[in-house]
Amino acid sequence: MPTNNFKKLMEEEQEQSPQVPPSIEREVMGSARTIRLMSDMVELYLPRLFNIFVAMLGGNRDSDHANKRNRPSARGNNAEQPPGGPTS
Amino acid sequence: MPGDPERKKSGPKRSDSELVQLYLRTRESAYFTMLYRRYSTKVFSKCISLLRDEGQAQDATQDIFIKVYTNLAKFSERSKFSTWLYSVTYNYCIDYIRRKKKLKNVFSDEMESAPDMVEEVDDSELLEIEVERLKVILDRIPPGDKAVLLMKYQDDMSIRDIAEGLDKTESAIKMKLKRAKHKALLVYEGLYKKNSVL
Repeated sequence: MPTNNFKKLMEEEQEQSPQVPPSIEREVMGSARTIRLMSDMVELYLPRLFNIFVAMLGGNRDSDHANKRNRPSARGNNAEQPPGGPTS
Repeated sequence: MPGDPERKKSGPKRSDSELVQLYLRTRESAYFTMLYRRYSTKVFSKCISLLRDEGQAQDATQDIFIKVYTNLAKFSERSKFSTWLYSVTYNYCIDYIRRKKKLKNVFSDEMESAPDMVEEVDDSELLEIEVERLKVILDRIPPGDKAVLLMKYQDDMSIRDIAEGLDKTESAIKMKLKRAKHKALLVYEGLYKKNSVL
């Protein structure tokens, strides 16, 4: 195998390199937790904020409204009724 | 570490790719911690080598791992995790040097568009230079050239991986590499073989 002193240089530098301070790991993991928390919050609350914004603009109050209408039970009730509406 | 999943599991050591997938699936920070512990020394050492300042290297290591964390979902597995991580490291350090020195672009395209005047240098000429001398030479060539040489000969990155990592074309990287080798050899000749003509 041909000599590769770039590799030897890397090994030497890694041996001589000081240890990564533990504070760096704490900082990285702390930032990672913060980022994850932020992204979870965005995931949870952004759709709700969007619905509130839509409601403020005069649209449907929320998507639950539409969901209620599309529930299988609601559809089931409607399906029992004859096409022209309730007879009684 | 008490909650370390790698310790809990007595089976074979998990690959980087497995750890990335496990992290993305479970979002358990212990998997990312394992990746950090596997590579933090290597990244730190590369940062010291490129930035030549321990304090700056510490900040850089921290920023690089945060960057990697936020982009983990974008890691495509077309290359190895280590290749991707080292690309982020080189890019970060080069960008840092560029900002510090207010250079326009360390990986300047000006060289790429210039006519090809340099002769191809045989790899063995460079790879067999004594370690101490190699260290001196690498510190005397521009950081962009140094990074390309390290990516190629230290980290065994392919031309395609280097091009992807530095957001350049493969032909631009081939040219950059050729010129970096030439510059390194010129410095070597100048410092250690004063009587020879390149």
